[in-house]
Amino acid sequence: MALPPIEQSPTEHRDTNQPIQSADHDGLHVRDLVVEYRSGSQAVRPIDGLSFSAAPGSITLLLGPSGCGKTSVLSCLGAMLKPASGSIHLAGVDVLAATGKDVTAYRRNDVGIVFQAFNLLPSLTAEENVRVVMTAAGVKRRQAIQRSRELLTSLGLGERLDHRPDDLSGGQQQRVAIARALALDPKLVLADEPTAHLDHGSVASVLDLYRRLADDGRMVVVSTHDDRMLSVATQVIELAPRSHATAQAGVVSILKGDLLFGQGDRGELVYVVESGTFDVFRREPDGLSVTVAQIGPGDHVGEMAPLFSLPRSASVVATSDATVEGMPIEQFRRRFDVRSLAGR
Amino acid sequence: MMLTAWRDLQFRRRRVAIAVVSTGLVLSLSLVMTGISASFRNEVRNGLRPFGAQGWLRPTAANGVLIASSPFEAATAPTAAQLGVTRADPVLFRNTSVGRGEKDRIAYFGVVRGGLGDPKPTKGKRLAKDGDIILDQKLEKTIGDSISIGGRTFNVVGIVRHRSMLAGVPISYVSIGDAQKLAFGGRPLANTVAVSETPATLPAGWALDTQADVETEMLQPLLEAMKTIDLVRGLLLLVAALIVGSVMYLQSLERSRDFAVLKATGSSTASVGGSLALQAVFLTIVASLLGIVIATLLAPMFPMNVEIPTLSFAVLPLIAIAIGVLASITGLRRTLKIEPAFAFRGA
Repeated sequence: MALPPIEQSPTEHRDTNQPIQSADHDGLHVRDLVVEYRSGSQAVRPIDGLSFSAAPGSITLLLGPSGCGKTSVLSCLGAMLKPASGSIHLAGVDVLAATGKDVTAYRRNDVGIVFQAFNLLPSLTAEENVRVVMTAAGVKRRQAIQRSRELLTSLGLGERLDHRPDDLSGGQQQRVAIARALALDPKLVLADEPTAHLDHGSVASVLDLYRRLADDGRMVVVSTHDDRMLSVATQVIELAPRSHATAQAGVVSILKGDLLFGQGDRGELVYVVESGTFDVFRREPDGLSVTVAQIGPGDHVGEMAPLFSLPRSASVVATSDATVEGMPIEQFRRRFDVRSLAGR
Repeated sequence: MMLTAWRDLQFRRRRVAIAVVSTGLVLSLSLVMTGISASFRNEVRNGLRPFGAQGWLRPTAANGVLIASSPFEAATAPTAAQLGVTRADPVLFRNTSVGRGEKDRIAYFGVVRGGLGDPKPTKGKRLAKDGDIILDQKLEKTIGDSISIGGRTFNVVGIVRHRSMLAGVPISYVSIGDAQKLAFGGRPLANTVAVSETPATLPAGWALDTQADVETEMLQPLLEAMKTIDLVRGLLLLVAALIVGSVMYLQSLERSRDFAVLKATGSSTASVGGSLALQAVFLTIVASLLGIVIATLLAPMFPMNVEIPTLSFAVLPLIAIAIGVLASITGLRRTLKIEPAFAFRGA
């Protein structure tokens, strides 16, 4: 593989959930993606209605703190996680409609993944780590060896072909992982926190490398919370949950029909109802709203989000004029001597 | 699949070596047990075959011809002429000892010199006169030595090999006259009459046991021991399966991320599971080959003659593979369930 020289592309910042219109059908199109899983009795929805598109040759950054759902999006793009709803099309192919062998073929041929910890097989040499992907795809041994050697050499690892991951630095392991991701020349490269395990000096060369990957005409989607990656991004999808206006500690008055917090909001406070009543309802992946609880004076709501740094899993609306006291999780614990917060 | 399986075995070679040696040792003990069980049958055959008898006569009331026999007056037995056979020679069998030591047990056949059962020794001469004895080499006597049995002294004139009965009791041969003096104070009694052909008819009061009947009779005291050995053999195979199963389960635990990565990068679930199964098959084949080597070295060290059947050597690797794959099912099931998204979890 001959990686072309590095060229800087303009960086475009876009707001979360604002779909990018793409006229071509060669790119990646994600529409209304909802990822939901259960944590005990709670339904947690880290991704709620995400839409974006990426054109060949672009680098898309999924930016956000830990727990905001970046890896969930990558898992969906890699056909490793079935979202609750939404669609993903890659080069006109409906990724989520694939089943069985088609899923395996998609993962093998259309997507290359660079994992956060690189996840090289410790028993294999650098060359074998790259080759194993091609062997699984039925590439003949001689061809596979030749291609893996070429790839690694082009990434500057010509002298380290026979070294195991333990003998390689973090940067070198990253390059082997990239070579493995490129082995079958995929349309889409996914990278999970590519700078997480690198020292400061290695980051610049890795950024260059990702830029070169995109310049080869691939779509690159990178999940990161590292602002240094912004310099190579074609577009940035910020996945941090929205903050709600009423998210202030202390006693707050709420008028009937007002929202205390909305599903998907960033949550830092637990609320204890002092007066009035509230409906707690969830918007299901199919768009319907379901009331999950009605609460009144003495009840509390909203502890899961601050406890686990997750977006709010439900919306709470006042059904009468009401007052609530918002407090951080630690204050809530002290006040109510709560050891276990497995409730609402 | 082959590459990842093989390289991982190399990578974890210490563990693999320990598992192979342990499993090999257990399988070798299983082979030795098979050999001991088979030797019980073989020694009876080896002891009876040199008689060249087609049948063994006994009084109808007797339950057997050797250890379960009812001695009878030899002169009352039907003769060869009466039976219409070439030879019909009385035989006397006794199981006794020449002392109280571990190696002092001895069984002897009293045979008609020149008749059925008169042994041709591998060393020395045949029985020529009263007072001569031919011994199994296990008694560690040489030609010209003397041996005292029941207060009578015999001269060793010949040595035979691999002749034992009743789980390793060495056999000796004396003239029937000497045997009658030893066993019955000189009364002319016999346990059975060996016949060279199967008689067309038998006189009233006499029955004929075949070679198979006599083998069954001689194995009767050993049946419980043989069943115990079979049970131990089964347990040893179970232990081998547990060793392989444990190692494979450990492999599946430690390689969870590897398997997730392989699935995430497009290896099929069957291929990933096959890689683990291949390791189990490899481990068990090598262990069974090692087991064969160890068993071959161990067998001569046992006090009794352990003859491991050739078929057991051939079948062991197949049994071992079956054990390996079955034992790996838990690990395999775990491997098949690993989600590829697991590869995204942090280090």
